[in-house]
Amino acid sequence: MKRLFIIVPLFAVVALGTFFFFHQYVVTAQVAGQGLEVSPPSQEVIIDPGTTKTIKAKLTNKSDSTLPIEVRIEDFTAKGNEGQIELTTTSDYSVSSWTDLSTNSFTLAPGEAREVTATITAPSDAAGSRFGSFVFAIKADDQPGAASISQQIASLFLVKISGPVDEKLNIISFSAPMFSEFSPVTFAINFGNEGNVYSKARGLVNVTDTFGNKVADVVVDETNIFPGAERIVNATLDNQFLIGKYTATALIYYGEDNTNLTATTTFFVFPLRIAAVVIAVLFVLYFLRKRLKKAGKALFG
Amino acid sequence: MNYMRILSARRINLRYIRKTILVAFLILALTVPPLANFSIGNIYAASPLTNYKIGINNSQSGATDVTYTFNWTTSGTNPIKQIDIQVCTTPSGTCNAPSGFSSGTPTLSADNIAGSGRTVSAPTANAFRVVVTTPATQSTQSMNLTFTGVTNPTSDNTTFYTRATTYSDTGSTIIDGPTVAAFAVLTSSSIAVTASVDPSFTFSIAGVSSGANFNGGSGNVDVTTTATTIPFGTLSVGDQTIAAHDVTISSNALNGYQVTASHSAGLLAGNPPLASGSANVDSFTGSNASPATWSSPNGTTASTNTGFFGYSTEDSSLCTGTVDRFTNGGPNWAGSSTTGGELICNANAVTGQTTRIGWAIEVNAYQQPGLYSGTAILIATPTY
Repeated sequence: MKRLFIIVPLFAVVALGTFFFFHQYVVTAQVAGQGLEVSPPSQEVIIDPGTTKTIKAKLTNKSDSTLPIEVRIEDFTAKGNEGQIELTTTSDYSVSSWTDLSTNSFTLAPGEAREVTATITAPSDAAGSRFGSFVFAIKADDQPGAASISQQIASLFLVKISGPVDEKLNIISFSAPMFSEFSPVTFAINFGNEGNVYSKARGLVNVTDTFGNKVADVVVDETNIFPGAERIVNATLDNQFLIGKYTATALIYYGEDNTNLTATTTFFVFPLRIAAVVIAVLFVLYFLRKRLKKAGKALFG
Repeated sequence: MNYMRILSARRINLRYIRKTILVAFLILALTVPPLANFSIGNIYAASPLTNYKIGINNSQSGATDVTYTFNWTTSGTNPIKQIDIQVCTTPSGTCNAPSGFSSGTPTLSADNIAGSGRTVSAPTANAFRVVVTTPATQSTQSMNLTFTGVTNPTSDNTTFYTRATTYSDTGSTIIDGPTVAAFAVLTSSSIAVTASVDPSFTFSIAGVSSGANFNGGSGNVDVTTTATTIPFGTLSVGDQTIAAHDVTISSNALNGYQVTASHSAGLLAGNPPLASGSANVDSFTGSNASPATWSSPNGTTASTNTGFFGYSTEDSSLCTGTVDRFTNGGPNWAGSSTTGGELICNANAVTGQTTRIGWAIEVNAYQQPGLYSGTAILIATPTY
């Protein structure tokens, strides 16, 4: 009888474990996939009006099968404020009509890479910025009675035309969570580009404590901002013990003249829960002081 | 006498008061210092320079022949005899020179200080000094000084501080300041350059087996897909059929990414996602901006809302709109169009982020029989 008490639960545990193991296996099962890799994800090119320049993008087949590839050039514009793009045919910053491709289709064996060249010819009256992308597509495997998947990947290029440009970035907002219990504290810088070319913003966030002492310098990664668009860039203050009020100053540079932008915000950090526990313990100790005193006397005389 | 009686009645004694004070002190010691920061911060010497800013025309660490521009507004109209600017590693206390910084032999290329005659010098390697020969009454306007020939500090990605002071004499009687402003020195390659270390961006699609889970469901995937097809097979009238794919994105660059879903334009009017001759299956009524719980097609005229095709995603942190619109209360579904709709998104670079996306189809009894086909397009784009 005692054995049964041991064997039955043991059997149940093994059975349940086996079930969940295979259940897990079944629900996560994947069928063999196919992959494409482009290099670079994005590139920048400066071109003089009336001249020609070539750029390249490399596509690698990361699958186990040969892939039929089609290539085209599409324009893009900024979408949202986190750097996303939208492929479009109606952009004010179109470059596709200036661009010729070295090839429009080819096949790639497993693991094989192929470089494609685009030749950009800027008109003599061109100015400002233009934005385009190589779009590589696996030719869809059309089958009656099924929906096919057309897998496509883009490699972006940002064109800056030499000559007079209007570079004008501003910081629309600079913020941090007003109150945090601990680090990390993430700063959000919302840039707006009122110029006619894309601009790169880069810099540091200088964090000082109440007394003006430097706590940290946080790097703001170099980021492009599309003309006429906004873009939020985050920088995170991490691995710091923080308590009290802090001031963060964003020191940002952009453009060929290294134009300086600054913005300031304050935030407060206090480990509320830890403090609450400490205070609670102190209160308990205070209210038990007579008993503790008695116990102390009993123990140590 | 009465007063003493009251005290006695309330049993107040010195011992009790002492302990109460001790506890109060402990509580205050824990809570007040950070709160005190609110009140004792921002106490500066009287008459600071206002709107104090620094511009440098090259922010690379160690750069030479850099131009430093200082801007501020004075507080009064006192004639300024001398201006001292120190460059320090800290905003206050002893001024330690930033490693590698040199004011060189500073040249004041521009200023709008009232008065005539200037003597510009560097009393130390980390300081600038301007002495006005004949000072004049200074209007409280924006003042700017531009020094050339400066060498930047050599520490990458570090902020430094300048402390500016104006005097009515040669360094004894302060008018304004010292006032502190920070500037940043970045890396030696911080100027915009084309990426150079073979950055890459990878987009993989894998089929998902039937019986798998999708978007909160359990074993709700009905069809096994391949990387290139969604073979829905023969559909049962009135039953939603779900298929799925796993999409994986990797990048060794700084770029984030977005994957969008759309379908190719066909020969039929309205560009339906699936067609068989002149018959078609329509896009589901939910949109990408406002996906909806699945609802069965209820049309009674063949090919007009008699069949629905839609997509969904397990990405609960999309970059635009309501970020969890497909997963909150989901699965929620959107009908595809020939314009890409956001399916997966991450503003930051990722290495091997896999997200499951789903496809659904359902027809009712009015849908014409046929072999329906179409092409769903998934485009992965890096952030710019």
